[in-house]
Amino acid sequence: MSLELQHVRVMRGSFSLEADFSLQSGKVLVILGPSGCGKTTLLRAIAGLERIQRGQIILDGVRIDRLPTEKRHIGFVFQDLALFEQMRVKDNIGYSLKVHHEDKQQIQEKTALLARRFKIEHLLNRYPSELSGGERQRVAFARSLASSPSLMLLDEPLSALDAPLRREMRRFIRLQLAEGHLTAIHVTHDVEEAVDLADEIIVMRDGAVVGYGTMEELEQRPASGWLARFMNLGLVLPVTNIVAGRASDTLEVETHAGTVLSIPNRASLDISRLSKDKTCLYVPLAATDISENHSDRNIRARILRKIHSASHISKLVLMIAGIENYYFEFPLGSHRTEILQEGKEIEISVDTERCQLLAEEPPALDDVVQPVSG
Amino acid sequence: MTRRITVVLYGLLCIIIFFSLSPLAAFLNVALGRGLEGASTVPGAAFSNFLAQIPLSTILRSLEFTLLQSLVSTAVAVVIGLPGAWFVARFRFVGRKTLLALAAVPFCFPPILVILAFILYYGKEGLLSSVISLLFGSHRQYQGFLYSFWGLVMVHAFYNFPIVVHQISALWIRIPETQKEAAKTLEAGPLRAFRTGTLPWLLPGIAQAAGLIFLYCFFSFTTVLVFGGKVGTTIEVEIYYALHYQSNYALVLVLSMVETMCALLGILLLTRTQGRTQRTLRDFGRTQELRSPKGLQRLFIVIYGIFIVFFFIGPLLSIAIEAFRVPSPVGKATKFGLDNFERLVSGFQAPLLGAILSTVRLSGLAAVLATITGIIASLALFFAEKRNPQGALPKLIEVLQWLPMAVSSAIFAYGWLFLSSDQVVSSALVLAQAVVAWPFVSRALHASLRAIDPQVREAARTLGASPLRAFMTIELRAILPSVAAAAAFAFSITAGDVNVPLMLGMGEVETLPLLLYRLTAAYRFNEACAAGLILGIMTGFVFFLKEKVIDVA
Repeated sequence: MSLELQHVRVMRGSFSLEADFSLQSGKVLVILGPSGCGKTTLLRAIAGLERIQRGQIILDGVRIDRLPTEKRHIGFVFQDLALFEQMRVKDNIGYSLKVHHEDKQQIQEKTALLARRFKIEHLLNRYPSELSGGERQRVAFARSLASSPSLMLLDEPLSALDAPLRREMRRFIRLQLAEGHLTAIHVTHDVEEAVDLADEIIVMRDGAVVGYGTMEELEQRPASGWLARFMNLGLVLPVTNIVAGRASDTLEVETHAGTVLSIPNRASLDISRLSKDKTCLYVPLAATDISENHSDRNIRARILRKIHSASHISKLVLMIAGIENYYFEFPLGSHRTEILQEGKEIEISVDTERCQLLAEEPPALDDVVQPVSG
Repeated sequence: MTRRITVVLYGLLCIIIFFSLSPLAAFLNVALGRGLEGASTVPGAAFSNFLAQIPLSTILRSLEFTLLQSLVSTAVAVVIGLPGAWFVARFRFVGRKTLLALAAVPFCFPPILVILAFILYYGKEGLLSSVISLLFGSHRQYQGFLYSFWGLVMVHAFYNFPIVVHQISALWIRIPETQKEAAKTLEAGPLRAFRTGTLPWLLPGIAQAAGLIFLYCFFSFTTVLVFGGKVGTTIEVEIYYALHYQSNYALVLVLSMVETMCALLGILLLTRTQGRTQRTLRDFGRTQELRSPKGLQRLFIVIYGIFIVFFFIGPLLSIAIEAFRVPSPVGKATKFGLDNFERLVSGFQAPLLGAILSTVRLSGLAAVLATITGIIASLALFFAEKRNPQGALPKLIEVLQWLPMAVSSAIFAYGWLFLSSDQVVSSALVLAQAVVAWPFVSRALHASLRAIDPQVREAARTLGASPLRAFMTIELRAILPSVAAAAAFAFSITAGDVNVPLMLGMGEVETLPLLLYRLTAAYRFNEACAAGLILGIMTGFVFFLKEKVIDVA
């Protein structure tokens, strides 16, 4: 069940949203972005809960954007779950089957089957108000799957859960989607959740798609400095000067505090047309390391916080010298952590071969970002 | 300290109980005494004599008519009001605020004024008749429908439908669309999605608005007195006849008991649904964003707007027009001027000034009494609920609050009349109107007290405020604007009341509503409109002030 959005535009008052992407059958796409960027609106538009002003939505070869919601055959898990509080769990789950006038026996069988799959058999006669947060999630999920939808849409369904339950539900959802070979779109503002669930990720900002690809693709080439910072993909440094390098295919990039880095000019950029204010230097996380030796080509930083844990990812929160309000999270690998103390000045070495220049801000709304590859 | 306040409040509450129940007891005492009067000393014979004064057919006939007209009027009011509630709760359109503001009409426009408006508009000689004559010619002249069952129903429905718009839209605007949308994503059609996702939350609100309107129609007096004469009488009108023309206290007693029992059923429905409505309001809390109507929705709103202007606002406007229209002989051109007002002020039997002054004096007094009683009752209820929400005391106060809605105002009026040694009618009027009005004050203030976040009070305590100081700075401060608003509301209710003065058959005192009634009964419609306009402006202005006070607060 593949999904295709072609030049879709949704208008809500002064807010405008544009999207153009496709999703292969059985894949999980995560839409990621800050609050108010239009993630939920996009999901609602796909479900037919929001009218589109332009474009087409095609599900498995059939154009669905003119169909009412109830005819689109799409499962939707709402942020507040929207369980029918006046109905028992079994009636919530069997709702869509009843709508389709399936006979009682079949409704009972399918409800029981789903309840077993979601481990909620013992809750079938309860009302939603009598359930815990995790149980409500499972019921909402089971309900949306009852009529075997062609596409699952999940609108931040985990946002109200506490951290351990959220982690558990993430695993559970991923497992269910994989077992059912379901095509799904999951909306979140949590990068960790996106990385955990996604086959592909779309990043949105101010109603526009500003990044699209697998996590690896986004790490290799994020569409903008904003995106790299938002997802903490690597170091993003302001640029003060760019000149042609001694070698013809290199650029000498001067960053804040006078550090000059020689990076490859793979895209054959015309530096005369580059605006320094709108350009930044992107250093992927994999191209950085903590250096024990001093060098003019290293980036200086101060350790603001050291998070050291056996069960969680250990990391340093760094303040990069000369940049205000930018906190870079650096995962600690096999570094000698005893020498890394909070408040200490350190130097970060950079593999300049993997650096690249990016636009500081995402491209304008009209320029829909195309997938990096594929 | 809080304990001491509570003890004082409970003491005052006993006075309120006395205030509310003593006229009932006085009436019961006198009615039983007079009902048994003249019979032999044999107890069985006295009882037979009592029963002989009660014509069962009158009771059954009036009960049937009361129930029928109340139910049908309520149903029609709900049907007219529901689309309005939907439009107001979901869409942004020109006239939305006006539609909402119409909810003030049943409260700030006395029924007698609305009756006059309907006669002027829908009557045989009314504006609508003139328009129809113009359109279709005199051979198809409109005959009017007011003095019929459906006329009565229409007046009741149009008088009360704004309550449906106001109350249900307040609920609907908070019901999120997600449940309905969830049903749609589960492939339910629009109607089924509405039934699953919206209606369950809306039903308690509909039941509540319907319950309230049912009670208003059930106790309807003036409207039935004016329009219902040919088709039937309600229990309230029968009580009036029995008191006024027959002095049949046995019949009054039985009629009022039947009336109270039926009203209690309505109140039961109201209180049972009240909790669910409040839960819905609390659970959803935030109001949903309004959207611009599109296509058919816009068309429906326009049609609805025309319907309301034509059938509801038209009659109200006709009062203003008729107040300034000078009656002229047939064939002469219509003149407009202040003649009607002049006749009321300086003509033969010019009662306007006196009526205004006595309305202000008597209603002012009744409003002050009602406000003081309401403040005490609301505070007592608030503290009683805080101590034990499920206790007997809060329930008792709740019941007391509903009492004036379950008992005929005639009983309160005559009860007070019997209690006063020299049977002073005006003091009975003030006391009876205060008894009718205080629950409105108490409910409004209690709602304000309930709305205070308990954490604010706790914050004051953590900052060193004593319980008394916390009470003075938080609770008392919070309800002060509501006190002013509730007092204004009480004034609006009492100033527009014609039931109690009519029931008491007041001859020596003239109030504005009484004057209005008498002018209407004497077919002096233009002067009645002039008096009505003044009354409408008076109560409307006070109501407007109340809204302003609430806005500022």
